[in-house]
Amino acid sequence: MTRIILPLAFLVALAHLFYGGDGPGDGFTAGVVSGLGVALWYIVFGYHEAHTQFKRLGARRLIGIGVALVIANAAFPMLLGRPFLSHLNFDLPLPANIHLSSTFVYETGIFLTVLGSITTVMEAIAYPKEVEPL
Amino acid sequence: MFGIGIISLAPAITALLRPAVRKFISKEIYGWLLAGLVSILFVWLLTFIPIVSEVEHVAVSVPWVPQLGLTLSIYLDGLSLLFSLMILGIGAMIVLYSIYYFDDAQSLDRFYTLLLPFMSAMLVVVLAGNVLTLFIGCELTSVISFLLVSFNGENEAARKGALQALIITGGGGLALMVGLVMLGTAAGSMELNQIIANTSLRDDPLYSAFTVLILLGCFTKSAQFPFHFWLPGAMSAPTPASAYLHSATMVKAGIYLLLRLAPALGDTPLWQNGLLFIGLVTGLMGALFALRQTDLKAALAYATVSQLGILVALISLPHGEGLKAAAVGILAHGLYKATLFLTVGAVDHATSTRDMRYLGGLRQQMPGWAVVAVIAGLSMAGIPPLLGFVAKESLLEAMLNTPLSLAVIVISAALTVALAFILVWDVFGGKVAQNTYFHATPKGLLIGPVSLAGLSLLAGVGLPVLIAPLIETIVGKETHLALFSGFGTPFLLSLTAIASGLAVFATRSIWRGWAFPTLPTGTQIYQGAVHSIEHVGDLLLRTQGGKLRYYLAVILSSVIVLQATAGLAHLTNAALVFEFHPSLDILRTVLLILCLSMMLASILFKNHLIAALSLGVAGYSVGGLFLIEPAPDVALVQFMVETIGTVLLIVMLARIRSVERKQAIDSLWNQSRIGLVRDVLIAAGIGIGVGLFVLAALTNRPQPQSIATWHLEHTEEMVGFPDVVGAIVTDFRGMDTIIEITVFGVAALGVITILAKPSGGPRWPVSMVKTLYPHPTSMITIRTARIYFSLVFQRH
Repeated sequence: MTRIILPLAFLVALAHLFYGGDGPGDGFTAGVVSGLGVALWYIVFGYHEAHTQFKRLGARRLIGIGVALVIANAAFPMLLGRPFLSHLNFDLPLPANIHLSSTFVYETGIFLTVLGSITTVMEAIAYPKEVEPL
Repeated sequence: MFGIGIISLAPAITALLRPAVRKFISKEIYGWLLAGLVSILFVWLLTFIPIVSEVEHVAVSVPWVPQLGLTLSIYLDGLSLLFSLMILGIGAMIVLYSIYYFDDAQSLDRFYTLLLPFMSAMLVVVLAGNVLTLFIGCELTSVISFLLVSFNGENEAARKGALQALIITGGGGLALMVGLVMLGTAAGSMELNQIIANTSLRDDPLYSAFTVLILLGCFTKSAQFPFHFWLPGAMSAPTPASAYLHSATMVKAGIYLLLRLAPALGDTPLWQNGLLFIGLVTGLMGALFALRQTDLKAALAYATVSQLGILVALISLPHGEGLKAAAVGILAHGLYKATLFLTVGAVDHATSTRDMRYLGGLRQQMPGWAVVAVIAGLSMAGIPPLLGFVAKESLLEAMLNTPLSLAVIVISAALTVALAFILVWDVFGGKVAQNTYFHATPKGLLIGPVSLAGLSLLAGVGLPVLIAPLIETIVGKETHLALFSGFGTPFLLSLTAIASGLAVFATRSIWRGWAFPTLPTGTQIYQGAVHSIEHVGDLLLRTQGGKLRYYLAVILSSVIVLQATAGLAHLTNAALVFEFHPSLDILRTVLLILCLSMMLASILFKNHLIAALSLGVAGYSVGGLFLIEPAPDVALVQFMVETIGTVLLIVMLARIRSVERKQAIDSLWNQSRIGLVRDVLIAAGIGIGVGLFVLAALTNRPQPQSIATWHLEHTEEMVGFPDVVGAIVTDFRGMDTIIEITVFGVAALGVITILAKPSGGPRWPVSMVKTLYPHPTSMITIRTARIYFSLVFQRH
């Protein structure tokens, strides 16, 4: 069942990202939800299998990309002559009433950072040799 | 104007690209390309000279954080042009020189990574049109200078020198920041063009305060008395760094700021007397100390201190009389001092010593260098036709009206002449020293210094063509700048200085042996201060027993006392109204009871897994309470955080051996009756104290002015979507989020650094740390070092 949960977790995370503007949920919760999916993998499948599965994700790189995205998004309006951290709204006719603005990039950055952090932490602490039955 | 922005940022961006580029090309080619790039920027900047002589100054600005008055703005006038041309020109030569100075590629790469952002930061300082941006650039230069001085980090003198430099310039930086903010507030704007145009700043009631603070900042930066001692201590930097930072650029930043603000702040007794006094004292003292040094670099450092003092004295003159002399002086000094430093570097490279006593007769082995050194030395001594002579003449001419200063300056000039002759003669002239070690320098090392020295020569000779256009942009078109202005007083004074200097030089064998009275030097005072701080830290450390429970007891007891008293003091009975809505409140009560019972369970259950789970359930019930509010965003976050927290807690608990966990439980439950009662009392006390406090806070809220209503009202219009919490996170408190997310990422990285010991790495014992760091150190340093070592020497 765990195998199904992981893609589901990501889907929920994506939903949070997109709908963050209108309802509850934002980049942070998206990150935590997907992070929880990853943590579940680590717990259920043990360190080695989970590690090989998620090595492609490059957790530590994700943290860097996430933070860079957030800062770039905040600094970008300056190129257009507006102060730091302004918003740009795109009026795109998207289905399902999805609102897009530059906060999307911001939230994505937060999502990546949180996901990267949780994966990194899990990778560090779920090490098999030192785990004892509670 | 975009061009200026590109010019200032290009070096830093190039540094970022280095790792990618260096994979394909060798270090020589890369260095040459880099030097080429900087030269292109230099030439590009030259094209701005005609523009600036037309318009007098150009100012452009882009808002960054309008509420703070922070903008990205550029202020380009003759002064900034002079400085930025020097930064780029000398920088290009330094880049070239370093290619051949650093024998291994890794050092060179590391050096460039530091040098290029420094170049950008320095350009930001001189081109900034906003005092806050200028300050940011200034602090950046301090930090990068710290990294450069401690380049050879294994050398203890380097580390100490770097730390000392950072503390002194950083402390001055703090004063500078306060002063600049006060200045901007007094002037009504943080923009330089408006501050300079403001003529009423001198009459501002706070004038003395912010001027003194700004002066403090500039004096520490430019190594004036009594803050001069960090500069000789910073000589453990690699020579190209010293040549760039400590002669041509960073120390001149203070001078730049003084010149920049002089139109607005000058012409008052405070300014004139203060600058004159400090400048002259520094000038004289620096020259005296320089003569006493045996280390070539230290001598040059003190000579720089002396020259900077003279420049400061020039700035004190009223109505910008000293401006021409200062401008020419800055240029001349930058050229000859950089050349001399680079020469010393070459000598050091070749003979592995910088001590004058062991050097001599190098003109036979290093002929090219001898020529270069002679030219630079002549410029330093102020002998025609070199640029240094023009500088000296302008200096004496500007100071003609003040006999006392004139006397001091002539004396310092004489001492500088003596120093110049000593530096050149004792190293290159005379008999060959008994030095068995000689390693020829690469030919390419000469290119940079030759150009700089050549410029000193050509600039003096071709004054009207080469230098005058630049100086005119600063001082105006009617100035008189010529190589030889006739047999006036300045010329006679120059001759006097040269003659006396030669006399001092000729008699050097006599006075070198004299013992001068030693006063406590600045370095000793500084070290004394650092030691006393460490001592106090040690005393405090002794109060820390090391047991977590002890700390908790102390902290919690203090909190109880503080919060309970605050709570009781503000409790008002009238506002406590209990309403009971049957539908929701039953749910609330159920959740509260659930929460409390789960917390109780987590204490009472001795099985750690169940305890952790009950804690999680308690968290969920709090989330449920939020949900009822209704506050779905907050509830969602609470659920998420609680889940991940419980998961992490359980995984972490599993890492602690069960034996140790049993010990922890036993120490709580199996202690004496009194101990148990004490713990329960403290816990109950905390609960009651905090409860009282919160109750008082809730009943005393200022209605209805809380910021929450403002957020609710303004979200849709300001942000574009109706989610208030989201708006607060991303917009109203956007900066907080950026910082928090960075902290989140760093915390995760911290976890791996501390935890990742797959093979169970060694614990570094105290004795081993002591052997690596042999001076008697405090326990704080040792403990920090232990943590640092275990972090650094991990394999991931």
